[in-house]
Amino acid sequence: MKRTLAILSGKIINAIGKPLGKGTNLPGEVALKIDAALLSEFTYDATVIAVSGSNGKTSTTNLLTHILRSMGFKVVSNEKGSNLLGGVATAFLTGSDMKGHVDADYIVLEVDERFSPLIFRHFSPDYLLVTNLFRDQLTRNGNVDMIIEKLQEAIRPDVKLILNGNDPISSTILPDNSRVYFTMNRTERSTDAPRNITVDTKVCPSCHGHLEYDYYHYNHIGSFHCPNCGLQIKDSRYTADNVDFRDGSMTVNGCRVTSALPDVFNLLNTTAAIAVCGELGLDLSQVCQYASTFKPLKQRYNEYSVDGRRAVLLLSKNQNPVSYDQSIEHVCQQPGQKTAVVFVNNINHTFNLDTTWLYDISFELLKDHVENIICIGPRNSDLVARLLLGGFDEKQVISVDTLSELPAAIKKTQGDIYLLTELYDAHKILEVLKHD
Amino acid sequence: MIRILHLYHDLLDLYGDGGNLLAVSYCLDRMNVQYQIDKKSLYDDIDFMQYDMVYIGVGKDSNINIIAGDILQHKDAITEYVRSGRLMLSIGNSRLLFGKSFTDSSGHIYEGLGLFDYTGTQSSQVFISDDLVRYEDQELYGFINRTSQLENVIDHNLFAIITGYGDGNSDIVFEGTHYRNFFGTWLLGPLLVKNPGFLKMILKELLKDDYRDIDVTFLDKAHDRTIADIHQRIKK
Repeated sequence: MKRTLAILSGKIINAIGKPLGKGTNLPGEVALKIDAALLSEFTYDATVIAVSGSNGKTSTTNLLTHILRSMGFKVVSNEKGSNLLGGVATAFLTGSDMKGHVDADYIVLEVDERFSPLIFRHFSPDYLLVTNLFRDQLTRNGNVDMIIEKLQEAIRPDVKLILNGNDPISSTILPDNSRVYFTMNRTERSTDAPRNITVDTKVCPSCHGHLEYDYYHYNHIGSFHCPNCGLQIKDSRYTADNVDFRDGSMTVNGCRVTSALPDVFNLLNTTAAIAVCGELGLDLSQVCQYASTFKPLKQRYNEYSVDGRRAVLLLSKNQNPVSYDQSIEHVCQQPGQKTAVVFVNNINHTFNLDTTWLYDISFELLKDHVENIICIGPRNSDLVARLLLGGFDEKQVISVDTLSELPAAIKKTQGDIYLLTELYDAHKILEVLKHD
Repeated sequence: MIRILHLYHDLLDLYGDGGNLLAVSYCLDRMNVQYQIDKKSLYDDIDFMQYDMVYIGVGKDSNINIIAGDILQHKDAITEYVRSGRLMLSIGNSRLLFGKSFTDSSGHIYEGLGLFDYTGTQSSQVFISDDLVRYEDQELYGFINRTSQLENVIDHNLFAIITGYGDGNSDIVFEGTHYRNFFGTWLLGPLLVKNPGFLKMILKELLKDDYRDIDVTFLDKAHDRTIADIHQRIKK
């Protein structure tokens, strides 16, 4: 029957593609072409957990899967970040037998929120975790309202939500669903005023009055309340506290946990994963123990040596100001002299010449933290404009017009080198730098 | 003291649009001009005639719709302001507020300020283009990325299009609205950053005799490169 053929085809393509390192959306896509209702035909006793949100989906899914497997559970997951319809289908069919039965305790799925209506047409998760919601890649997504509408369409009222109580946007979605919140108390890096340019919640999502914060963690994430209508999260079930950025440690409901990536974004996402496990009834101190053994994939971060100097590659999605600001934040937190090398291209997926997105990014934060910023790439002159308008000293800003000139320009600078670029353009920089 | 009003600053802050006021501030600082930027929004009392420049930017559709209700209380004041020849810059979908009316994606019609005869529509149709346009003797670059459009923009045109989208879904001749010192455009860039010639024109209108030329070579360089790139694209 169709289902068996679909599963078989998917498994074959997966077996062929895996050693080639090929994408994990394809097996599922092919299977769905054979049987469009495939996702309604799997049988399982497993608890299904969906992980969605603007930033941190993949790392949180991976951490959650790691914790559950460490505790001895059988987990089926699409942890390589294949979060579209095909990727979800691939996860199911690779974890199932030929009859479509999935033998697992948990099915953990990273889900691209834009496609949630399609993905959840045929089955429903037991739990949905939303890490956070930001405007993201406006040339692709439209805006955050559209995503909320998609989730409203996709998620049934009986799905239990695990939400970020420090996020006014995601904490207020799907009001009819039961929910629990995770939050983080004030840390030494929390600020009274927003640090970033992009703050998506200057107004209350409920009454459009001015939203106030006791403190901000980053962008619009923090402890908020609306003096006009009273919007506030008072009942955080999972609270991160005692954050120490030096060793990446904190407590969640009193249980100690450490993260290999000691920044506030990852620590909050770690709290999110722990919150899910708490809702599954697992012992929090054990959960935190296993969370501390997680080694995150360094997809966005790589270290090299260039002319004896330490060089760090920080990847970001250019039109995602939250992600970019996180890279900037990382640079600011590093000690010693630093030189930034920033590659600015045209819009990679549409070839448009636009650089408006530079004005959503808080480059100003780098002013007192780097000796120099080298501006390179087809739109480097637009970055120079951005930096000078933002108050950088002319002497700090170095414009390099061709990649071949980059090594010489770097030689004239001091300190550790931080390369900020999109994944798409990263190889261009690495090719010209003599690196190990 | 130059007084600038950033209208609905907290609801219309999308798309890096703050760069326009950043460019204005940068220049005013270097000209040693005293200025103040007031940020006002819903529930605020606003005395428009005390301002020398009003800036209103881009926002998500639902915010524009909230503002549509609020801004009507300022209709007479804004009309008087614009007719007096004071400077106003409306970027992106804030333009919807200045026509006769606009319709949202569910068919609901919002009354506009009626400064212009055009109407508008919010939809899910996406218009994205690199625009090369002409204003007097200058070539300007702007980026269009919108899911709204205007209909019946018959007069008070601003830019002549060389390439790219215009105001509606099919115009290829003009983009933007210009009346006295009201400038409305879909063009992002930010507009004043990418086009220093246009920025200087705006500043001259703002400052009149107090205007001084300053060195913005770095803006000229970025502008010239972009214009050259877009000409290359057109040739292909």
